[in-house]
Amino acid sequence: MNFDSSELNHLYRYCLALCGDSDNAYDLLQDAIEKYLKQAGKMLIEQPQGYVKRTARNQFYDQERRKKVVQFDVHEDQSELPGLEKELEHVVVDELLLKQIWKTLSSKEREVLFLWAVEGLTTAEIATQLDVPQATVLSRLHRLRARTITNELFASSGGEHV
Amino acid sequence: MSDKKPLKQSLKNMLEAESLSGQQLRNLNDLQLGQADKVSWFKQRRRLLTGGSAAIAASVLFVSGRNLFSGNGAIQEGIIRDVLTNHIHIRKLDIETSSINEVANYFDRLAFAPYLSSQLDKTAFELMGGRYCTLQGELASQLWLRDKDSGEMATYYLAKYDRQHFGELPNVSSGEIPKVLYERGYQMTIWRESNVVNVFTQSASG
Repeated sequence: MNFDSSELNHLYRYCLALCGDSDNAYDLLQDAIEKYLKQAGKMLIEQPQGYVKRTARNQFYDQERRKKVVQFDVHEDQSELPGLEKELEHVVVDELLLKQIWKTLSSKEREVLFLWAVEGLTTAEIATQLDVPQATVLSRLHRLRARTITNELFASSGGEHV
Repeated sequence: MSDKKPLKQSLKNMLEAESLSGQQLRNLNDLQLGQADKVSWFKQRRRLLTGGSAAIAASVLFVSGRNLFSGNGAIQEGIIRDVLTNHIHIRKLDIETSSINEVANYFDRLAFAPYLSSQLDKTAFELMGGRYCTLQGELASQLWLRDKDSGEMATYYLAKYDRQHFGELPNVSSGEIPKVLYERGYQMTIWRESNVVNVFTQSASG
């Protein structure tokens, strides 16, 4: 099975969420598709998109580990997490500010946000897909909300924070 | 003025605004076609080189994996790997221009001034610019040439020739014929012109 333009763009955006950089995202996608095509010649792959995403993810984190730049999760106050998912649905944000905040996020935070916002997965589904506790997913979403609020406050007081 | 929208929607809008370029999409499609149907790799672009098509066709070799040329395999495999990496992984141009004179002036770190070989059909392509790259560890220029008919991008490489890094290559200055190779859905035409290695690369499915 070959990917069409829409699927290729979706996969590219996922890689971009991981890398945060367009050149590296394209390279990562290219490598993952090459591996998929090679594998697809030997066996039936039932979920090609999922296969390419997993391949890209594994390769990306392998590379980061080699460079020793994988960010560790910061443990947040877990008492704030219940109800966060619903609460996030009501948060509004300035789009320009969001672009600035996006640049400050880690690859793991960006990946969770991509799955939540673009793929529309719940935190439980994201946790299953990434094989991490749901609290970790909520924690990563919580940090975006915290940064959004902090920066909104600074922006409204005339300061810059990001 | 502040433009606030729901966080989830804003994130979706921001992330979906990013897309692959037309050239990147074409490259990925070519890659998929190349893997899916190796027969299509044999499609030949007749108007690429001004040398006689029969002579060029006679020099066509199908390259698969490690069996490239006897005695010269590892070196030419390395050339092909470098060329494909540079061709597929699109990087920003160091200079954007349609003037070969500007390109020649720009690449002052090379031992020669980049040029468009007489082996190329210059009327078929438009120069877009160039960037530095490496072939076999040697500094080289990569020029982008846009096919005027199809809009597809071809890449053209020039590097200083030495036998140790590039092995034996057909020398068109001595009347030899360029070699045409196919790998992963791309067509590469390789030759030596005096002391400069030339490699022209484009999709084989075009």
